[in-house]
Amino acid sequence: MTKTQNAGVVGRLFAGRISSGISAAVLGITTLIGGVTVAPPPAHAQLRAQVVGEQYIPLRIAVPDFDGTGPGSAEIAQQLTGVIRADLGSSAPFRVLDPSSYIERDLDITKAPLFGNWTVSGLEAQALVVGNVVVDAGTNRMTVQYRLWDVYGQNQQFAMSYAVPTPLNWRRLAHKVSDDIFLQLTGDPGYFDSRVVFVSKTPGDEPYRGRLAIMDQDGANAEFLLSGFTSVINPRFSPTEQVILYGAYIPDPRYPTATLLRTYLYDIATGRQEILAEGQGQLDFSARFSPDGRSIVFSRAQGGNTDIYMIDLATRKQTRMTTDSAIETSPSFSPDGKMIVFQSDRGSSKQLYIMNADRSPMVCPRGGGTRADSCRITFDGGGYSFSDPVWSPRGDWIAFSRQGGGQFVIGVLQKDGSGLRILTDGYQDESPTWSPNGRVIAFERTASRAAGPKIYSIDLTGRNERRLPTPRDATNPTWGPVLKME
Amino acid sequence: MRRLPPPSAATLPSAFVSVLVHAGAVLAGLMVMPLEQPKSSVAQMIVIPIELVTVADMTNLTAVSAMSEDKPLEEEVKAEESNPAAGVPPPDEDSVSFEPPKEKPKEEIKKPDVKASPAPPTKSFNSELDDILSSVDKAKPKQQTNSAGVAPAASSREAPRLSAGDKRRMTASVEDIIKSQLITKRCFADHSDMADAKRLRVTIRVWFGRNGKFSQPYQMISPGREPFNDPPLQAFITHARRALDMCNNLGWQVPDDYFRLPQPQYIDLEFVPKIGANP
Repeated sequence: MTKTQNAGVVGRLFAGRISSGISAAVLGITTLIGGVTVAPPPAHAQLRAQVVGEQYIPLRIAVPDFDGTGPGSAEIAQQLTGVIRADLGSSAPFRVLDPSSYIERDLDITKAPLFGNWTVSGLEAQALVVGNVVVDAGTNRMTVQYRLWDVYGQNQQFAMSYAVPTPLNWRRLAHKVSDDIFLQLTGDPGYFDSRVVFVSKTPGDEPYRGRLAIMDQDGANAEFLLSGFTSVINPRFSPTEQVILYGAYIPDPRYPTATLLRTYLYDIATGRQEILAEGQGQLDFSARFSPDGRSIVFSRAQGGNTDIYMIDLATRKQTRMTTDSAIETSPSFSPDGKMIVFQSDRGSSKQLYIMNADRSPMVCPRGGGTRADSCRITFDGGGYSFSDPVWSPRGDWIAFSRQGGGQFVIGVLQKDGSGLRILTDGYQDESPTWSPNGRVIAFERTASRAAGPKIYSIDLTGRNERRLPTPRDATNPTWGPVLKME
Repeated sequence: MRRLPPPSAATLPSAFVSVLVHAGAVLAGLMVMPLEQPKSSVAQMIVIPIELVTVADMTNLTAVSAMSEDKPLEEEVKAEESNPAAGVPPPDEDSVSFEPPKEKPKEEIKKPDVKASPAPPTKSFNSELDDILSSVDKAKPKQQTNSAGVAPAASSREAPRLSAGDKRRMTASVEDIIKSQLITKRCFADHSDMADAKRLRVTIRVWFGRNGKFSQPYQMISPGREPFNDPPLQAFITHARRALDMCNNLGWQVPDDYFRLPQPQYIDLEFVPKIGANP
């Protein structure tokens, strides 16, 4: 065998089907040289691992007192920082670290903090908020600016500056800062700059007497909304505007000893209100806005039957949504407006059902492919009945009140009926309402037969149950949307 | 019927020889047998000492972590429960007053949908669903587990040794040991409560040095670009990065096997909420 033939063999080894001896030899040598110069690095082992979070651990956040510049700014800065701490601390995803444990003080917003001071054992802050309040001595204009630092990443995660004409708005600005931080750290919009409407009760009053009242979501700034009515029920906030629906009992002009239930539409910002429905041979109640705020679903009792209706607020056109002979009440839209959840006793006990908002038939999630106008999603194993369904603004859960075993409790489940979880363990917990981001549920709790009703809140995860302070007893909370900045 | 042939004269000498041989063999046997000593079969065996060892179903390896630095979970949970939010609380009930009602009720009013008054609570309220709740919501913080499905070392120092990896395997891989540290050092938490959590996943590539720190900055593999219009995913990416930064700050315990691999060797860590994890 010649050298050429040898090269050809080598060439074929590398080049496959080239049969020409000389060209194969050339190619073979070239390939050998190329192999030396452009060979990939040694093959690496494919090391992969899936890291699954196992424990629920609140994020450790430090919020030192904001700095103050200008007349009265120091006090405002301290109060504003306190509200931010209270907001974040009242929320399950966070654990606000005790300010007395901070090493670094007098932080300057124009400089990066010394991160090592915040990662020391025992403190181990994961996020740090540094801010200041500036009040202009001439115009009295107030500016609040802050930076959110990722401590372990040693970088700024977010920064914002707000300016308002007067320092009187410091509390709302504090909520705005809290909302920003909540969004940055959880991915969900915040809910701190929002309000809750409820029915205020005087202890010892008749069960259905109460006045419409409003407060910030943390219980601050509570006040009555109306002075004329003493018997209101079922207030419902619009998900988009500062507008509410409520029912009020009024004397029936035709029969002096009787009452009428009227449904009102009330604009909180302007004080303007109008009658939406009045019971003349019928009773309209349990009204609730659609997600876009343009229509309303409600229950109408008429002729011995109670069904669900919808009314378009622009045209006032009414549509009957259910026709079953059972009692259908408490309708609530899904956030995309395509479905409605409601309660019905068509199965002998009160259970939850879903239907398409356009009344088209749907495939029931537990019906084995059955198509129906509406589908049952709760089942009374154990003799439970379900009521007050409210669809989460996030769309993933439906909150409800469950009665059975001597208790009313609050729970959540998914729209197909799966994932049912009971969140509270009270004597009588009912009337759930979602925070605007779908993260927290406020509800009414009567702790015992002798106790008056109070408002509580609980995180979606079942953590962080706490009472929302109200001046008197309170029922029927309804959580409004996040306020807009003017 | 076939008759046998008569013996021929040629077979007689061989028969004689055969008789002699067999007789000699029998005699030799009778003479030798009494001289032969019986031998013990035991003496011929090689005796190996045997110790009974109970083999566990799985190999338990001590998880590498800063176990001793962490507080027991029981304490942690109690501390968190007893630590109300700091700062300015909302106004006290007594400090807020409403205007007195201007109207007095005139008539008895009936509510259209009257709910039954519940019976007093009973201690025997123990339905199946509430059992689920107690195991899911109430008990979970006190029974936290790591990726291997067992309680983290921090919560039970006197507990049996922990597995660092897949319990079905006889060894813990390098990546399992790294992953274990992210959980046991509490660098990465569960984020199943995030909006649309099932879809959230982030893969980050990391390289380790012998000093227990990253040898080069970690690299985002998936998603390829920062999802600016997706706040939940953005927040989840931040959670994953923060977990790596935290554990890097504490220092990694990297097994020697890692450095025996062709260098630079990377590990792709895919972060997922528990709700979106592979079964």
